[in-house]
Amino acid sequence: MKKIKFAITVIKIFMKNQIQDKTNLILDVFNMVSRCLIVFLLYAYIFKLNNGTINGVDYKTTMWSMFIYFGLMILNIRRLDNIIMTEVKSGNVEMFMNKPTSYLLISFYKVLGQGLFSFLFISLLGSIIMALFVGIPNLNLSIFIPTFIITLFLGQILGLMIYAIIGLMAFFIQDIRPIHWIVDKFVMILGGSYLPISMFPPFMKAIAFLSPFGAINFASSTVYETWNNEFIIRIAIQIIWIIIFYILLKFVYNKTKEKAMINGG
Amino acid sequence: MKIIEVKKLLKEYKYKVKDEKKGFFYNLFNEKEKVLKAVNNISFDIEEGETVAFIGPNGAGKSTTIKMLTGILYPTKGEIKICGLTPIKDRNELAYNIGTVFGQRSQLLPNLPLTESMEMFGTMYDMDKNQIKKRTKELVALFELEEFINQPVRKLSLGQRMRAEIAVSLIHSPKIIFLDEPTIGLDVVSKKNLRDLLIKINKEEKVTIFLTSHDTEDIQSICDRCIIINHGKIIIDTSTKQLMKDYVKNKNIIITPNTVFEEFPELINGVKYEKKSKNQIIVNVDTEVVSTQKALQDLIKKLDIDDINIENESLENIIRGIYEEN
Repeated sequence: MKKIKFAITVIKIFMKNQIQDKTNLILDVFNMVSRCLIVFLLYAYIFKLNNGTINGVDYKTTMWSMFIYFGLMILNIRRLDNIIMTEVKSGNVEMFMNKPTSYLLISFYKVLGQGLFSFLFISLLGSIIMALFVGIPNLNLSIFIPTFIITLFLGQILGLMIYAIIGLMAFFIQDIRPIHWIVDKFVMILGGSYLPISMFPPFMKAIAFLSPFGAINFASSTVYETWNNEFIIRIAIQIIWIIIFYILLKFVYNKTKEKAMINGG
Repeated sequence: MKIIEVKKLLKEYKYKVKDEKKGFFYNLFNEKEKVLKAVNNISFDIEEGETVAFIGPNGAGKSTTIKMLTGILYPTKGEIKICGLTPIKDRNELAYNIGTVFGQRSQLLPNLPLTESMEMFGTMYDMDKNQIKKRTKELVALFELEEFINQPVRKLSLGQRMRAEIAVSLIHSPKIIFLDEPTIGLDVVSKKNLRDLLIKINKEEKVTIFLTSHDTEDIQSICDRCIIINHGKIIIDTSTKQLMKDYVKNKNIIITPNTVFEEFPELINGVKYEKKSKNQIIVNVDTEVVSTQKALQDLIKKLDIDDINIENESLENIIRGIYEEN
């Protein structure tokens, strides 16, 4: 109970800290609108060329999938590794390593707090605009709503773990950006950033299905009709990856604490 | 009661060295490892309520020691007990007993008023809303934070921010506070205010103070005891008063003339000019060579003096001398 209370307090405070600077929200809105506009117009043309469906999926469903993906990008858990690297380089990490809460948990709450307001604001507003201009896909709400919340939650936990591992590497190597870049591109491609998952060839679909990078963004697949048949296996895949990455993160974090060297001391 | 116990503490760092005479490919596969002893077998105890300065030149091992005492770094060898707890094993429990302030770092939330940081850290230390409110009120009064308590932290001056940093580190009423160069970059007024506050929390809240600083005024005004470390080893562990007594080898005599000084006569062995001007002469007396009395007698004979002041060597000079000797 105390841990939950602390998590809520910290997320709330970091959210307030972020809201103070209104430019972040304006930039996030601009980012979302410009991405959606370009992609939606582009795919409207491509779907038109293919008589309205590609791989059995229509334009409306594909756009909702991409909208969910872009929304998750606004939550921006991907910056976690950069936050850790910056704190390791500046030495500020030591301010949080002797607190009663784990440094990693504080960092998780921090990154969530920083992105949550923009995410909620843009997702809600964007959903209304999407419903008005693109339409609502055919969904089985009794499956969609609970599974969307579960996969969204599990996906973000998995993402935080993966990016935390990259971030912790900053204790051992000078610059983690090349690793971030490689992992991030996997997450983006397999999450459907460049090409909607519905248009993936079968082997790419299989990779997106089974890999941890694809599992981060399973929430963007909840609008597809196939979801109703595969949500159990997808959630199981997320849980398995969470267990694996939890063990890996714990190992890396313990090694980090043992070997840590902060600003020469 | 001993609140800090350190026995044979050792911290080694390994680093790679290249053979300058060999080529790139040789070094790529044959890098040699060297071991640096940042902290080398140090032992000391600190009693509850003591104010201790842990000083040394850059790279002496001060910050590494503080980081080991606070559970941030793992020691290579040795034993540490803080309030009876081992920092690495009991890191979480220890956190409730200690506060830390690193002069060049900040734990405050930049865009929000200080009260929000107090709330965040209070919740982190399992305090409920009423406890946080009560403690914040106490700290605001103690540290005189009213004037800027509602301002965003990024708009505070450095002096105000440091006061805020220390106040936040005391939110959970720790028994010990570790301060790593808390007055770095502050102006003289802010430094004085901060020193007064640290003395106040030591006296009023019985907080043990463990401080590192390059500013000898911090040491002289706050700390009863000095531990001097160099090359990872403790070279002196004594009271600040005793340090002044034992190591004052030189005295400065400041002389004002009746009219003006025009000649600067030769001085006896052990006495040398520090400053020569028409309006003031400062001479330095090495008390191991000649007594102050003899030096004075010689100066009175040779100069037309209106006023004389005798000053002990500054703590800064004493410490510099100790560093140079070691």
